[in-house]
Amino acid sequence: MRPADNINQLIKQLQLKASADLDKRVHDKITKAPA
Amino acid sequence: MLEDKLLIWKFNRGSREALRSIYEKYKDDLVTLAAALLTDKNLAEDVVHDVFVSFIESARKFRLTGSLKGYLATCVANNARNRIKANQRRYGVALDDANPAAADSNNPEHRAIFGENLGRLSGALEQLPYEQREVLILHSYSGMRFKKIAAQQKVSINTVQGRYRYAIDKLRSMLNGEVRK
Repeated sequence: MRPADNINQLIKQLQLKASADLDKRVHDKITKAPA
Repeated sequence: MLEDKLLIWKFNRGSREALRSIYEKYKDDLVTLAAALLTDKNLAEDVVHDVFVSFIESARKFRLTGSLKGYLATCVANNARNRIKANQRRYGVALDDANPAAADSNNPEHRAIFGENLGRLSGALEQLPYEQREVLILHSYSGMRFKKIAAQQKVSINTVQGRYRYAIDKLRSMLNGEVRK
């Protein structure tokens, strides 16, 4: 099967990990959020 | 779904742990979604950051009507779209135009972001007009229905379905090497 034969299947395979920098930025905001 | 409802219930009562759980549960999918829409991982992370900051600020008054993942995906898509619009206002390019900066589907930057195989797909996605790319990604990656995408884009379902078909056809052509720019 050529890569373009199933575009949807390919798109579903896209997967990135959030970086440690983003984790830190968001967790810092959560820590500062009012409880 | 039930787990999300419980997380939202706790979130609305000020639970930071619930917020952390929501972020950890959906962060990778949301970064991937934003990166597929914007074809830029740094920008994608800024979008996800901004979406979560707004989400944090909605504590105690947040009401979930559909799925939490769908809600967050919609927020990411709206934020990404606003950034694209702002950029295009600055540079005078219409939202429906293909990205003029897109070089080709073999751009090494895309391979660096998504890996060798999917990098080619990402490079091809960048060459689609934004509206078509948005329909394709929201439908195929996030599983969003055409009706909901139509409401977001403020167009008819027929238009959305047309954008989807055009996007699929163009991507297929590009990835099969039938179109060379």
